[in-house]
Amino acid sequence: MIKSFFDLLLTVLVVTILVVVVSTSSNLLWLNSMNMPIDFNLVTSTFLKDIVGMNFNSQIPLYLLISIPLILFLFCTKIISKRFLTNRIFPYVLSGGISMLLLMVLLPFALDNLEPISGSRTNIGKLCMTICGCLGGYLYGFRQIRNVDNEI
Amino acid sequence: MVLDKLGMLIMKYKQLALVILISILSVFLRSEDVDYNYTIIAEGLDRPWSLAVIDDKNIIFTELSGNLRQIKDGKLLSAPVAGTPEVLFKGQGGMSGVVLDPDFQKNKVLYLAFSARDEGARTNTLKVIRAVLSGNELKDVNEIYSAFPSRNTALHYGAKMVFMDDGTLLVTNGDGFNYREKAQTLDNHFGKIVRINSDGSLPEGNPFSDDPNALPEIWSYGHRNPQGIINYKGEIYGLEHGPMGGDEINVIKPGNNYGWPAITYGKDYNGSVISPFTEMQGMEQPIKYWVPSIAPSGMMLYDKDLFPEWKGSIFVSSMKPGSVRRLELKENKIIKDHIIFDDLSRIRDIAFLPNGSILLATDGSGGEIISVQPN
Repeated sequence: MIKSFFDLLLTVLVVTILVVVVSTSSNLLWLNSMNMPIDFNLVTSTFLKDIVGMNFNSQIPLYLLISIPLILFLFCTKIISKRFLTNRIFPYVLSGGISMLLLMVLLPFALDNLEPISGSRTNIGKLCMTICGCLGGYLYGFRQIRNVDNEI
Repeated sequence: MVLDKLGMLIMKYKQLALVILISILSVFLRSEDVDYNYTIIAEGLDRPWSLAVIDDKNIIFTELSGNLRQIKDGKLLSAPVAGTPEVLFKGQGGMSGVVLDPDFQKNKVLYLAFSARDEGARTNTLKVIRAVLSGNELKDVNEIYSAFPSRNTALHYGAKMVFMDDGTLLVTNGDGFNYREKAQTLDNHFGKIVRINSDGSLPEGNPFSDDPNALPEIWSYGHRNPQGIINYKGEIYGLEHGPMGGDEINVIKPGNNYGWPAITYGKDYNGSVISPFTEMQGMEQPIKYWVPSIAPSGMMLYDKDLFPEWKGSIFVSSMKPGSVRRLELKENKIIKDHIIFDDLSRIRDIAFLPNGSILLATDGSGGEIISVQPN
């Protein structure tokens, strides 16, 4: 139980970092397209500022926003997987991806079409965010399956 | 001996002494040495948004919910002006800017900027109409401007207007929130100030009229949500509502790029960096910016003698926390920033009457229009 909870926290942490990477990258890529001088130091410092800013200086902390659908979906997937005695990673990958896609699609519905995460305003951005969810699902699924194998 | 004792006392209570000193200093720093009083001239209003002054006793103003209202001979008419266009009242959208024609005393023409839903679509846009005020009714209503393209958000319209000395009209357009990057391209009206004739036609002399990739109405670009624009002796000042920090006052010149969102002093509401740059060649610097944000909403340049100490200052109404900033202006540079009228609520717009009294519109339902005059 504690292991599973730790795995969820780890997954939220990883997905949050990946979402910040996508958001920062989309911003800096646009600035680069405007011929603004982007270098490695600037990329690093902006990413670190975004990690802090989006999680601790935001009206809604990013980790909280991500954790609600992600934990819900992964937890349900775990229960369903146990019920049907499947020991496959794919359902976790799928549910991680769906949770992020739903977040990106439903958030504007709740906020009068406003897209608060700037990196997800384009379809490519939404796809990248979904992939972040898939990777998070993969990580969580991998650890669950390994735990089951260890128990056996 | 006495000095020693005093010194010991100060050392003993140094924290208390520091607090007292700071309190005294802050009172002196904030005081304006101008004695004034407030008179409420209209109350119970539904989100008053923009003021237009006809004369000392007659004022026109908009309510965001969709009304145009009149104060006639010093009294608020209970009925809104009839014949106004249907608006989209949502988010920050609604009946927004109002400006009088330079010949209003003769022709009774006024201009309204508002958000309107596109027919049969889920999108909306900023529109400007020209109409004649006849009694308490609008007649000869003609649409003279519609921002391109439409948007699906109801934020950041800009929607303020001012006449230039040559009789052309400047209209501010916000970036629509989701479309901020478009403020840097010239094929759309997001984040632009446009210049049109008072009948909606295209005037000569717009900076991008010969550029086939640009919309010919564009006068300046790189704006976020310009919520104030004034013309003082031919100089145009624009007031920009920034994100978290980065509210700005700019001197608006044709063809200039004011940088949003490539350069900014603000941060995104989600806490992320919008741009790590605050300046760049080819992009204009503001003459004043605020970090943290003061949520500016309206602007005027006071040019009357009723408050002689304030003559020549720019006044910016603000909603955070609810006050007015008086900015001393010298050769297009802001040299001092004073906080005044901070005992009211959020202030949505500011103007002055020909007699020199200052008009304030407080925000929200139950808004008021307040006149400020010296004691």
